[in-house]
Amino acid sequence: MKSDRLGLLMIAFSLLAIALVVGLLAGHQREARAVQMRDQGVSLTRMLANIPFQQFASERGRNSTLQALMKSQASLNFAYGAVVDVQGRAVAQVAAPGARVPALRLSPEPAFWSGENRLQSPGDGRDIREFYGPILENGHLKGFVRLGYFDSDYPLALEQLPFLALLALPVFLLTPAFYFLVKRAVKPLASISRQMQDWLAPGSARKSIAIDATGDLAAGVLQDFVQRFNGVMQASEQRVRELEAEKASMQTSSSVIAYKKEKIDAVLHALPEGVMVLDESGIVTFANAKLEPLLGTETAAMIGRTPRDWCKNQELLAFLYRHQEQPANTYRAETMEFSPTQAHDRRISVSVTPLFSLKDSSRVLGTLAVVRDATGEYLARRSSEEFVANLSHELKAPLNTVVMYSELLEGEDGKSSEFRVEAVNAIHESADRMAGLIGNLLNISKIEMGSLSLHRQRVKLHDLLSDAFESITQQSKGSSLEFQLRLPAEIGLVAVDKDLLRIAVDNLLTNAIKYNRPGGTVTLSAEENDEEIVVRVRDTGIGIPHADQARVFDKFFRAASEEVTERSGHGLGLYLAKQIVELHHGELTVSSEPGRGTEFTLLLKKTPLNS
Amino acid sequence: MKQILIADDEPHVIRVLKLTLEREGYGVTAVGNGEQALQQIRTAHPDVLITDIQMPRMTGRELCQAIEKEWPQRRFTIIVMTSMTEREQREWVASLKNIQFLEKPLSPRRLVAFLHEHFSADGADGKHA
Repeated sequence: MKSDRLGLLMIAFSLLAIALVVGLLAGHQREARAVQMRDQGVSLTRMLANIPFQQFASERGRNSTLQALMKSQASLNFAYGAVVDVQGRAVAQVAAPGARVPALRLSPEPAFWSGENRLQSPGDGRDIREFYGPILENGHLKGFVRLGYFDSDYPLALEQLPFLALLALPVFLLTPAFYFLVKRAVKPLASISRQMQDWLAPGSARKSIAIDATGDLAAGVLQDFVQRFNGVMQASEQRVRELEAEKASMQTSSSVIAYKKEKIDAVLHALPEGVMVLDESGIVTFANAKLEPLLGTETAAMIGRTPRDWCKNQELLAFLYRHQEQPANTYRAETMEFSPTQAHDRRISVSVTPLFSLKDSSRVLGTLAVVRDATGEYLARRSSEEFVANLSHELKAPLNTVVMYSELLEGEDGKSSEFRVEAVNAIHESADRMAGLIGNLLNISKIEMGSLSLHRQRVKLHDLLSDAFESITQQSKGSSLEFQLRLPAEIGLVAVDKDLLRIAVDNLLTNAIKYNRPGGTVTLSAEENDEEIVVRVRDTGIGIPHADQARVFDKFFRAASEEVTERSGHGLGLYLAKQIVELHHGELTVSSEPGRGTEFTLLLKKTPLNS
Repeated sequence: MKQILIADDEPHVIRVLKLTLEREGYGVTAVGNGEQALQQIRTAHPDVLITDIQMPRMTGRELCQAIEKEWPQRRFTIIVMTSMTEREQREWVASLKNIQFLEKPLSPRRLVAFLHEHFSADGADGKHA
């Protein structure tokens, strides 16, 4: 198709060339004719002007001279010839068929005696070039000779036709030759183009491009070109293969990184503590879900923002920013505790640790903040502080009594036997109090250290409970409390550590008395079934708030109510009782109605006699 | 007769102090906690208040603060009976004037000597003459 177009283009071009040559030839011919016409006109005018004026006048209308002239000029578009006198009147004239001599008066001034005029034929309006010259006699102007020629386009002279044909023939012959030459030169390129198209087709074998142009003039150049082109394509293919390999390895490593990140995220989310990561500029880049209940802010509201945007607690905010504003070399891990604004009884611990770059330890990548609920520890710490204060008071109060009474015994008061009895009783009671407390403390520390071994004996629980009951009622003589003991006639033998179990029962009974109300009742009861023995200690005292019931067996725990704090105590009795019961693989539980009373239930598994 | 008010929840302490101080010629009033002490002071200012710290209802510390608030210009001395650990809590009295600490266990003899010295110094400048 392309080559067809090329062929057409060639034909058009050759036609154009022929037209141009013909045009130029015609122009040249016309120019030559004009020059020939002037030469002829001027020379004929001069020749006629030499003929005596009288001769024209004497021919009397025969005009033979002019007739002869007209005949000789037939091929040169001769229009007319005329001899006129000075006034312009015609003396003699001849004209070609259809032409007439235009009337014209010529200037008698010598400067204008000869020349050329452009006129129009009065007959048919054709352009006429007129040449004129003077007829002189003895130097006097007698008249003028006027010769007119039609000045029209000459048709191409037919005699030129063979020449033109000769000219056109080689052009027509050269065109196809040239066309075939070009086509031949282009042929290898067309083959290259086809191969490129195949090369681009999907799934092609991508062979090198080959060229068959041997013997061709352009063979060397094309071969070079194809060679270089193949080189470029090979290099490109090589690069593409490298890039594809790189891409594949990057995809692999990126999926490995994604997997690792997922794993790290899963680990951070699974941590029991709240974890938050801040970058160097203080923006939160990671926050796990555990933070939400601790800080009262949704993690979505934290990520991508600075704590200033979401943290409501001024204490925490100041802490996070103090750490942010430190120079990197003074960065160190720090911990703070705060109570949330809405929950004063809770305690949140925040530890911040700088994240140093593993490659450059002077570079800080950000901060890791670990947030956890430290309420339990805080309460334990506070209880422990309170415990020390309470213990000090509990020990010093009886000691104080001993010191004061003994000092008075030394003096005047000691002489009164009544005072001596009072003093001895007071000292004895104080010593018992101290001994009880110290015993509890020792047993607790033994249990906690694991050094307390049970000396199990077969014990008649009936007797153990009766003794404890007796002892406690004796101590509470004079109080307004009512004591009730409800035991079955027989209780099976149990293998227990008698002394420790007694401490547990004593502590339960002491507790029932301490937290009772004036006129209240303390009941000790027991029952037995096939597998276990159940001992109950019930009081009609102040009771335990529901919220505190789970914690009454905690070490050092004492309820915060005034009814409790106004009674002396150290939060060890029930803790010790529970420890002792559990050492026996038993259970100690509590049920209580605030304001109505409390019941402790001690459950002991019956041990086979032979154990 | 110099009037002494004792606030302590230990009956034995009250008993011994009362016995000792009355024999020394002081008028003694005893109460079981801070609240009762405050009511007693409203009735009549003592010359000396002896108080324990750990007491039910109103502790010795709360009592001192209530007194400071109600009578900023009080003239009577407060003697606080305290145990060693409570010494650490003494910061709270830094702003209070005319307050003394006596450590537990408390010797009645030392208390009497302290009071004699206190009143004789007090008497010398004629304030309680």
